[in-house]
Parts: sequence; C-alpha cells; structure tokens
Amino acid sequence: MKNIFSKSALVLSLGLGLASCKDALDIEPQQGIDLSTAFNTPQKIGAAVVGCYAQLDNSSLYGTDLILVPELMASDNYITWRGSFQNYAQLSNHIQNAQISNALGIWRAAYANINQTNLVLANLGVVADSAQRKQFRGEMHFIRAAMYFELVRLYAQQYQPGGANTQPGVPINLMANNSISQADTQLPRATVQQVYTQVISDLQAAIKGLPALNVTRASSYSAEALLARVYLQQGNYPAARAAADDVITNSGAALAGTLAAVFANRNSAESLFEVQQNDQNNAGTANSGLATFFAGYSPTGDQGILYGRSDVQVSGAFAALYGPPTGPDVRGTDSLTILQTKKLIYLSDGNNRPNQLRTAKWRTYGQNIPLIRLAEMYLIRAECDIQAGKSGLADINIVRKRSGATPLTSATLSDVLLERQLELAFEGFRLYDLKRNNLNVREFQPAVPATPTDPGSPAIPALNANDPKEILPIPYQEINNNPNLTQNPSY
Amino acid sequence: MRNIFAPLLVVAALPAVAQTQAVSGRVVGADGSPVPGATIVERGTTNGVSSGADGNFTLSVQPGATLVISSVGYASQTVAVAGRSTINVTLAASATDLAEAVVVGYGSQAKADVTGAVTQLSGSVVQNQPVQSFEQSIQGRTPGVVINQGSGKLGQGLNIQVRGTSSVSASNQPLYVIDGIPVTSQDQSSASTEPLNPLADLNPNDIESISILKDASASAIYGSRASNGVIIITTKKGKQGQTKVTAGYYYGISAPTRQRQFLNSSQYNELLGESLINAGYSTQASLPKDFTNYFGLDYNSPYNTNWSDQAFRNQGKYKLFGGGANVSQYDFSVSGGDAKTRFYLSGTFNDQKGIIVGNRFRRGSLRMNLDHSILDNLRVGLNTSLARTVNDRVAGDNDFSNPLQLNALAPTQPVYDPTTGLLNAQTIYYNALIDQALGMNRAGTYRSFSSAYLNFVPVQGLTIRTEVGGDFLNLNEDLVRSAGTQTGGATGYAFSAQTQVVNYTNNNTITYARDFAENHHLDVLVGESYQRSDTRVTSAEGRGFPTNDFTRINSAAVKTGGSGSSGTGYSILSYFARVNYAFQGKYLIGGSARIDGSSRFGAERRYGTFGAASLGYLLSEESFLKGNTVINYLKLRASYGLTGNAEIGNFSARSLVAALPYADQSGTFIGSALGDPSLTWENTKQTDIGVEFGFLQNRITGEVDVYQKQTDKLLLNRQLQLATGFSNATQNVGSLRNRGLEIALNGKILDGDFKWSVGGNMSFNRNLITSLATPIIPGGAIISRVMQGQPLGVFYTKRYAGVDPATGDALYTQADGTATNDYGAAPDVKVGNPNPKFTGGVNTTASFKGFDLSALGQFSYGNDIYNAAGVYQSTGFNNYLDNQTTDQLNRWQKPGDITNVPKSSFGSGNGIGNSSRFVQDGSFFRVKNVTLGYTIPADLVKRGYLQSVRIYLTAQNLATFTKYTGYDPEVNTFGLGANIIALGHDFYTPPLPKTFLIGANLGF
Repeated sequence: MKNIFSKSALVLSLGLGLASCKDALDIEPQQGIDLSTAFNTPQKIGAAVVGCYAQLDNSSLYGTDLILVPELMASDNYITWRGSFQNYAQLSNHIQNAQISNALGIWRAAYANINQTNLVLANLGVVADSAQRKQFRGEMHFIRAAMYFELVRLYAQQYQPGGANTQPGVPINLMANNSISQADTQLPRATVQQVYTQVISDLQAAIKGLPALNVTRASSYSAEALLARVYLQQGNYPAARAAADDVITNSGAALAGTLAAVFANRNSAESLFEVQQNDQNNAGTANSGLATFFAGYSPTGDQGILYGRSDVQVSGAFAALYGPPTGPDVRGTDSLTILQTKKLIYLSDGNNRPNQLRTAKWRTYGQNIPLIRLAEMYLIRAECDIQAGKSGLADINIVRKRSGATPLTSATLSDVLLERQLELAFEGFRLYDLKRNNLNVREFQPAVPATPTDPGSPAIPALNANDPKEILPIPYQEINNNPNLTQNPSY
Repeated sequence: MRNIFAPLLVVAALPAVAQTQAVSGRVVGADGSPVPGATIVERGTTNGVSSGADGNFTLSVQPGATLVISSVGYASQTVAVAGRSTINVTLAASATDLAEAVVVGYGSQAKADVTGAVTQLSGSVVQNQPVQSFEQSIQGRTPGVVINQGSGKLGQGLNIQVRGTSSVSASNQPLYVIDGIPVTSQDQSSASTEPLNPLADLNPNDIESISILKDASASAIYGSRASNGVIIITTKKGKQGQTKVTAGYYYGISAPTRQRQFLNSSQYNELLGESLINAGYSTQASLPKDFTNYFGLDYNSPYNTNWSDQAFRNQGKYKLFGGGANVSQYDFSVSGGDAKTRFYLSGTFNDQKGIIVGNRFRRGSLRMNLDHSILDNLRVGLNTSLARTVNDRVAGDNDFSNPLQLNALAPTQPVYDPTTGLLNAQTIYYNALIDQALGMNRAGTYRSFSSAYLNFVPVQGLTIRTEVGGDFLNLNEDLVRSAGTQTGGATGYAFSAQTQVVNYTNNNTITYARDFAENHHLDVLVGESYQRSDTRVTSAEGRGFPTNDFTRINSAAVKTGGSGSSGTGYSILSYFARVNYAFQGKYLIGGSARIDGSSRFGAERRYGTFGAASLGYLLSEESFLKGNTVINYLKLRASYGLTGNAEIGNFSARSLVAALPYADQSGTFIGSALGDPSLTWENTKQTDIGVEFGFLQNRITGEVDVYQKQTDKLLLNRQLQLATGFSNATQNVGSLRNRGLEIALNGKILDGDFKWSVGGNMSFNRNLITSLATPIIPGGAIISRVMQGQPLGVFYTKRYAGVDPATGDALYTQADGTATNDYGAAPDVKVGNPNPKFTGGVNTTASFKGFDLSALGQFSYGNDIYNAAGVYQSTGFNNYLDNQTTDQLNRWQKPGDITNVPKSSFGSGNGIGNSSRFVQDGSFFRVKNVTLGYTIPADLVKRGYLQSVRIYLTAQNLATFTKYTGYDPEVNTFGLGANIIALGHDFYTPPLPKTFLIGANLGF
C-alpha cells in the first residue's frame, strides 16, 4: 500500500509541477496600461493630451452629435431627417423623451474627456520642460472649456444677459478622478452662471498657456475665438467683439479662396481649430459620422452606388434663402448633382433617396471637422458692431464676397443673423443663434378649414427655441442614480 | 477491425488452446425479442463479447467458466457454462435503473449512490434533430434548467439557466465539460453584435450522455465555476464486440412558427393619411401630392407588398426542394473493439437552410475515440474531433439590414424596381434584401475538442489518471457589404477577422474505491487541475473596392480603423477532493472541496475555497420497506455547499488606459470602467433537499427537489456617476436569491407488446435581488431593471392608462393613480416580470411491434414579454413612417371613441414612449417534437449486410399556443445589449422554425 501511495503522489506532484508556481496565474493585459501609472512620465502625459483631442472626434461629441443634434433640434424649415435612426427623427420632431440615447452618449463622452483633462492637469508636474508643460496646460483648459460650453448649451436653459442665471446648468467636475470612491461622488447641477464662469476662466487660462501657432492642435487664437463665441452666447457683445477682433487682426488666419475648400482640404488658412480625422481614425462610416448622415451621392456617376446614408435633406425653402439657382452665391444650390454642381448644396443621386438637396460641407468620412473658422469671427464682429449701433456691413460683405454673393448695401441685426445661417449652415450654430435671440424654431401654421369634401387640418403651434423640449434631458440613468440632480422640465 | 485483431486473439489464446471451448447463444428479453449490445463476459477475466443485432453471441471460454450477461435496463445474470456449448439467456428488465451510472465531475457514480441533484439525459434525445447544438433538443426535458433559444437564427447563442439566474453582471451560463475538459462556450465573434454558439461545433450524434449538475453537492467539485451549474457531455465510446456500422440520413423542410401581422396597402394609406391630416400636414385632397413630396410614396400605388414575408425564404412557406428552408444530414459511425482496443469513429455532414433569408448553417465533423489497454491495469485513450462549421449569419436584430426589419417598409412600395428589375432601393427604410444580393456575413470555424488520458490501476480500487485536453477554436469571419448596400456605400466595405482560442487543461486525479467488510463503501478522489485559455484576434477592414467582384481587403483602396490585432487570456489553477461513504448501501454521506486560483482577480484575492457536504438515505433498503410491493425505491437526500462564479472580463479587476489615436497622432484615453483591486469570487450557497422514488414495480418513478441558492458578493457591473468621467466598475456588491421546486414524474402505463410511458417535469423558480446599493437601469429601449426587492430584469416603465376618450391622447398613470397625457409626469413603476412562474415539459413514448412514437411538449407560464419594437410598429405613425401592426386600426378617431389605441397624428409622439402598452403575457405551450418511427422487421431486412432499418418522421415545433401577438413567444433579443438583464425583450427578433423531417437509420 505504501508503495502505491508514494507512486501516486509522484504522479500528482508531477502534474502540480507542470502547473503550479504563482506565475501560472499572472496574465497581463495586452491592450492597456494601468490607470495608476498612466500619467507618470512626460511621454504618457503627451499621449493623454492627444487622447483628449481624439475624444473630441467621438461620435457622441464633435464627430457627429455635438453638430448634428442641435441642427436637428432646430430643423424646421431647414433640414429634414429622412433616415431610419428613430432617435434623430424624434429630436427633429421635438418628441424625444428622457431615454433619448444621444443625451446619454454626449453626457458620458464629454464628462470622460473632462476627467481626462483634469487628470492631465493634476499630473503636469512630471513634465520637466516648462514650455511643453505650459502648452499642455493650455490645451487641457481649452478642451475642458469646449466640453462645458457644449454641455451647458445642450442640457440647460439659455444664459440670460443681465440675469442672475441661477437656472440649473450641469455638474462641474474639476477633480482628477481615478478611484471608485471618487467616481461615486453625486454632483449636483451647478447654475448656468457658474458653468459659464468656469468656461470663461478655462478659456482665459488656455489663451495664456497656448502658443500662437500649434500646428494642427489648439492655439491661443483657437481659445480666443471660442471665447468670442461664448461671450456672444451670453449677449456680452463688447467682450465678444474684442476677442473676435483680436483673432481677426492678429491670428494670421485668412479666409480661404472658397468656402468649399475649408471643408474639402485639411487645416486651411481660415481654420482656427478643427478636429483631425483620416481614413483610419474617424467618427464612423456606417452608423455614425457627419458625412455618413449628411452625404448621399454617387461619386462616380454609377447610380447603383452611393456615398453616405442620405439621411439629412436640406429643405428647399432654406436653399432658396441663398437666392435663385442661377444666382451668384456659391453657398446655395443650382440643383445639380455633386459631379456637376459648382455650388455647396447639391442634388442627391444614387440609388437611395435621390433628388433631394444635401450639403457638400460633410462629404467624406475621413475629412477634418472645422470647428472654428475665421468667417465666424467676422460675423461676430459684425453682429457686435450692429448691437453697438455701428455698421457691421464691411465684415458681412467680406464673408459674402468670398462666396460670390451680392454684397449688401446696409445691414440690420436680422441681416447678420441671416448671414450667420447662410455661412455657418450645417455646422451646429442655428439652434443656439435662435436661443440667444429668443426666436422660434417653428413658426405658427394656421389651420386649413374644413370643406364639404375635406375635413381640413388643425393649426400647428409655434415652437420657441427656448421651449423646454429644446434642451436635452439629463440622462435617465444618471437621474435615477443621483438624487442631487433635478430633471429638466418636460422630461 | 475485427479481422485485424482476430489473429492476435488467436495468438494470445494459443497456450490455452487445448483447454478452451466455444460457447454460443442468444440473449433475449422477457418478451422474446433479441437484446443487441448485451455484454457477455467470462467472470474474473476481461474476456468477453457483445451480442449482435439479433442477440447472438459466440465466445471461447475455459470449460469451468461462468458468464456474466448484462445490458442497460436489464438485471444482470450469471450463468455457469458447465460444459454446454449453447447457452440462451433471457434477461429480465431491471426492477430499477439504480445500477445506471451517472456521470459526475471527474468520474461516475451509481444512481443509487448519488447524493446530489443531477439530471442525466441519454444522447438519444439529441440525435437526428434539426437543430445546430444539443441544448436546443433538451428543452422541456430538464427540470430546473430553463433553456431559451431567443431567436430562430441558426447557430446563435442561447440562454440556459440552471436553477435561476445567479448573477447579474457575470455570466449566467453553465460550465460545459466535454469528456472531462472544460471547453470554450462563450461567443468569440467580432463581425456581429450578436453571439455565435461555440457549442454548435459539437456533433450531437456523437453524444453518449448529458449530465447536468444542479446542486452544490454535485457541482462544487468544479468550485469557482459551478454556481450556474455544470453540463458534462460524454461522447460515445467503442465497446468490445462485433463491429457496428450505422448510416443515417434525414431531410426536412421548415417555415416560421408564427408571424406578426401588419397593415396592407389600403390600410397603410388610410392610417398614414389620417395621421397626416390630424397633424396638420395635409388635407384629404392634398394626400396624394403630400405622400410623394414628403416621403416619395405613391398614394395610388398598385402594389400591395407583404414585406414581413420577405424576411423569410420562399415568403415563409414550405417548399419541398430549392428556394425554401430545408435541412438535411448524412451521418455514419463505426464502433467496436476487442479486449485490448475499443474504438468509435463517426462522420456527419449537416446542412440547414434557415427560415430567414440568407441564413444557412453547415457542419462537417469527424470523431475518433480510441481506448487501448496496454496492460490489464493500464489504459490509454484519445478522444479527438475535428469540425468545420460554416454559418451564413443574419444581421443583428438592431441592424437595419436585419431582414425582420423589412416589416417596417411601406406595403405600397414594390420589392423590385419595375423599371430596372433590380431590388427596389427607393423604399422608405433600407431594403435589407439588397444586403442579401450584395453581401455576406460568413463565420467559418475549425474546431477540435481533443483529450488524451492515461489510466493506471495499480491495485484493485485505486485509479491514477492524468489527462490533457485541448479545445482549439479557429474562427474566420468575413463580412462583405458591397457597393450599393447601405453599409458598403459607394465603394464597398469588407471586414475580415481571424480569431484563435486555445484552451488547454491538465487534470490529474487519484480515485480510490473500496468496500470494507460487508457494510462500508468508500470512494475518495483527490486531484489537481490547471486550465489556460489564450485568445488572439487579427482583423482587417477596408473600403473602396474596384468592383463588387473584389471582396478581399487586399483589394481595398483604404484600410480603415477596424484593422488590428489583439490578445487576451486567463488561467485557473485548482486543487480538489471528494469523499463518498456508504454504510450498508443505505446511509450515504459525501463531501467535496475545491481551491481555485484565477488570473482574473487581484493578487491578494486570487484564491477561493469552495465545497459541499451531502447526505443520502435509501429508505427502500431498510427492512421495513424491502420487498414492499408498492414502494420499490425511496431515497432522501440533502446537501449544502458553496460554489463560485468568475465569468467576468479577464481584466475587470484593473483600471486600464487604452490607446486612442487622433488622426495620425498616437494618444491614450481612460477606459469607461474602473477596476477594483480587491475584486474576488462571487459566492453562491446552495441548499438542496430531494426525494427520489419508485412505486408499483417502478412503473411510477420520480424525483422532487427544493432548493435555495443564496448568491453574495455579486460580481456586479455597477453604475458609477457618469459626471465623474466613469461609467461602471465591477465590484463584489449585492446579493440575490433563487428558491425553487422541481418535480419530475415518469410513468410506464403499459409494458407489454404495446409499451406506453408518460413523463413530465415542472420547475418553479423565484428570483429576488435581496441587496443592491444602486439599481441597474440600462435605459434606452430596455425596460428591464435590476433593483433591490424585485426579481432580476423586472419590467419598470410608465403604466399605460389607455386613451382619453375626449382627445385621443395616450394616458399614463401618475403617482396618485390618476391618468395624465404628460408622459414625463408619470412615474416609472413595475409593469411586468420576464421571469416565468413555472416552466416544464411533458413527454410520452409508445411502441408497438416495429412502431415507435414519441412526443415532447414544452411550456412556460407567467412570464411577460416587452415588444421593444412596439414604439415604432404599434404607434399609429405617431413616431414615423414604419408600417404598423393591424391592431392600430382600432385607433381613436373622434371624441367619445373608447379604444386602447391613441389618435394617429403623424410624428406627434402620442403614445410612443416606453410603457406597459407594449408588454404582453408571454406564456406558451409548444408541441416541441413529435417523432414516429418504424423499424422494419428483422427478417425482412436481413438480406446481405443489412442488420436493421428504421425510418422516421419528425415534426419540430409543431404547434405553439400563446396569447402573445408577436412572432414567437420564445424570444430574447441579443440586439439591445445588456443581455443578462434585458430578459423577455422582443426587437425584430426572428421566430423559431417549424420543421418536418423524414429520415432513415441503417445498421450493418
């Protein structure tokens, strides 16, 4: 018996020998590094800074939704959602509810980016090179400001000039969170005033830290131009003018030869900041991405094939604002296909939803996404001048002439607002312009009276841009998980 | 084979040649019919044979030999040869099947000795069924095990719950062990959001038995992976005796079990027109113009397309050949062996064209199981299989190219463009049939389940065994969407992925079984095991193909972001032991323990200890019951034990930062999840009390079990505050409980020439989340939640309160019980429960002369279904243009109308929110399988080489009885994500097929 057991023990220990030792259980991840050591060298900090830029291209951020969602929320008489994604259709019909997926996606992606900027800022000490440290700091403040500015515009009621602006904004997180206990912090909503204050302070820090030229990344003028946009949204015209004027005068940017070139080429002279994409790294080619939804054309003339999903149609009434098809404004349309047209709005062809108007601004999956460009600065300066009782005519006409449009001979506030719509169309401006001027997204449409043969139809009420449905809900998941948050009205 | 070994036998027998004598005879049953495959062994030796198909045998034995004749289902008999040369044996049916061996972890036990809850099924129930993997065939046969196929997609992952759901975020699926080796059973696909079932690579015809370990006593030997139950599959082995050759073939046709009903052309125009007028977009007179201008629809269209039917082959109708959904299978096997070497060889080719357009599953598989006795006490063996599976897959449920989403298209639009004759691309939503014409999604797998063992018995009762097993999975996926498809866009899109999973295991065990004196029996097992799994994925993605003839990414102009390679892995190191002791064959006591270490947990929390203890009491062996004419068999058993679960991500305990490139600059970005370094095992404590019985000469047998499973330290993927930058963390928080009752009953009603038996089982399980810090709310289209005090996945949304007769507005119930038309003002409340109150099955078998008939029914009662597509397809155009279900015709039209369907007003959002409006009772009873077979009388077929012929007809999913108005009540979409939580959701999910088969099995 003894003999047998020692034999079997031998076999067993042989087996154990094959497998034991602690390293049998040590398996390291192959596609990640530990968060606790991800910010401890200058190289890692540099990579994390690039990561914050990369996140801007997330399809929940500028890659798609930060541009498409506000455009659809102000789509009446402007664009029509034709696609099969029901969430976008609901936004476009102003019937979204608290579960709308975009509200969750934008919120999650923006706050993740904010936290990474916080993590970089908290660990900047490991960067020994002071110039590099200063630049990284500026870049983080710029990106964080952009995120909070987008959140406060989308999830909170419009900033009221002169008011206390105590209406609920969005939670402000300035902590570098990297632990579960920190990630359980139930933040309340700061006021709209507090969020704007944070945005402005971040942008002022960014202007100080950023170099005047930063290749394809944010420069001090990128930050100042964004600051001009923020002041304009607040109705702070003198400050907006000063910032826009400084950018126009000193940034070295110049209007590109054509508006189409700003979108077709990368990093044109007119560009003050754009999100970089290429064919490998972009916001999507099938179920997300600006070109995916806005484009719809046959690039070769073969009608069996199509570029883009043909989901966003430009309304004829809006295209008519540029003047007749034979008119000189190349931003408008001549109702020709993309291969034939000389203008920026083309008639779609291909095998899906042809013969509808579409914009050529969003044309290829891998194109860059210009977020701030000089033309906007001209229009801001013009609007501020008009608000101050001066003429903004010259600035408006600089923008118009570049696109061949007939110069205006006089300019009122509504002229400059119209010019913003024409120049900045499909870039995510319309909803916020309507909001800050308290205008209607949808105008009242009278009833058609009944006749003996026809029951007629009821009236359609007007919809103001500051209607409760014109901001997004706080995400359903977050509201249900944080008693310190209040939901927006109508959700 | 027989010829090859015969000379060896002669040589081996030479020294004894003068002393042996030949014995021949026939083994028959009580009714005089032959018993094929009975084992005839010369007692005290390994010399033996099996009886042939006619029951005949011949064996050379020592003159004074005694023969032991045994066969499954019969009482063994011992006959002294006593110089006779012909011995005919009549075997009596065994009074009980107590001697039947039950496969348990790392061994087997006699049924009478088992103190755990184990359901064992014979491989015969999964053979020759028109399914892709064996789990689909055991539905309704397994008390305590609920199997939901989820959809009718071929080879798709499915849901199995052994005694309820014992985890919220970690896997709920059982551990699968094939011939002693744990295998890869999780989805590995990357070309679809929906799972493939890796068990479809196993040929069901190779299965000898399926053993499901349900309670802790049975499963704790698998320690950290046992909480969800363990399914042990044993493949067929060769037996000593005459070589048996079988060949089989079947052919069948399929169609959908059920379909949802949608509006026809005139109904569509009527309702859409009304909704446009009500919304103020049109007047009656302007409708034709507005239909065209707004949507490109023709108000006066001559077409009336049933788009819903287009999702199915041959429009969902049966077709005998070509174009329809049909299935076929060829299989053969050869098995046999002698005293030294036993073998089983098999090959199968199975081809199933699914009911959904483009869906096809093919599997070719080969298997060789070989055992060889080097010495009387030393055996080696090799089990090896190679399977090639090709699955032409259907798009995910939540994908516009899902053919089921065709039901949203306008019936006034034709399938084919009348001018070009090509598939109509002008439809209001994507015409998914274009994907069929210009694309494919093919998953091809090479799979080998292999194991080798060495078994040494140094002395009687002591077995030392070492085995090494490898499960090699190589998955090649090709997703092609050529130019002209929605995804392919202008120039075409292709994705190709190569996934390799190598999963190897080494088990070393020592078992010792011995009887001490008359009264004591001891079984001891100690062992050690190491498992390691490594996964590598290489993928390529491209756009821009010159023409649609090019589909390989080498031809793509642009290699896009989906190109890359990645790897991951895990390992488990274990030590285990088990002791079973029986006193006088009636008092049973067992205990098992296992220590597991897993690479998935933090360094200081890697090891977990699990174990169970059990008691059994065979009352029927007591003197006061022995010989009782009513009660033949009565056993009580009880067990308690602790098991674990570690089926989470390989690195859930870590907070990781991954690469995120920015155009051509390289960057990094924080993950959405945070890791908890103290993460450890999820624990389940299970108590089980069971009784097994046999009455009236075992004409009535059964088993009743009650259990409680308490799961603590849940591996919970807990939601964090999104505003802090993180979404979730896996932590050991929360507890849940499953309590249940299982009843299985079988009765042999007639047992003569005409045999008839009836069986049934019923299971009740109550799941309750007993502790959870923060509820889990998937949101979006999912209304399931996980919250304290409720069962897992409870439906939680607004309660629909019908329609305001004055305005036609959808109403919802407010907190004070009053109704409001303000959706946001109504609170989310519990509106349903996707967990069934009870489930089960009934079956019956009958045979008379050569005929055999079997029928199986399956039922589920009290579970609710949420049609998540209802917000699009049952909202009267208040959402958008989707074609509507026919119930929408009952809409409110004028003040005073009493109806449950709100006013149609295009795009108004009236009634479109998630609500109890789309919840329905999902109870069903299904006639799952009916098979009628006829075995041609032996004297007719026994010409030449043929030994037996059986032909059969099978109907699968023959009839389904339910109040659910959707496609199929057995539904659980994988299209919405969060699959463990989102129970009972239907979202454009294809129904199961109803299949009729004819087949034949030949024996040679």
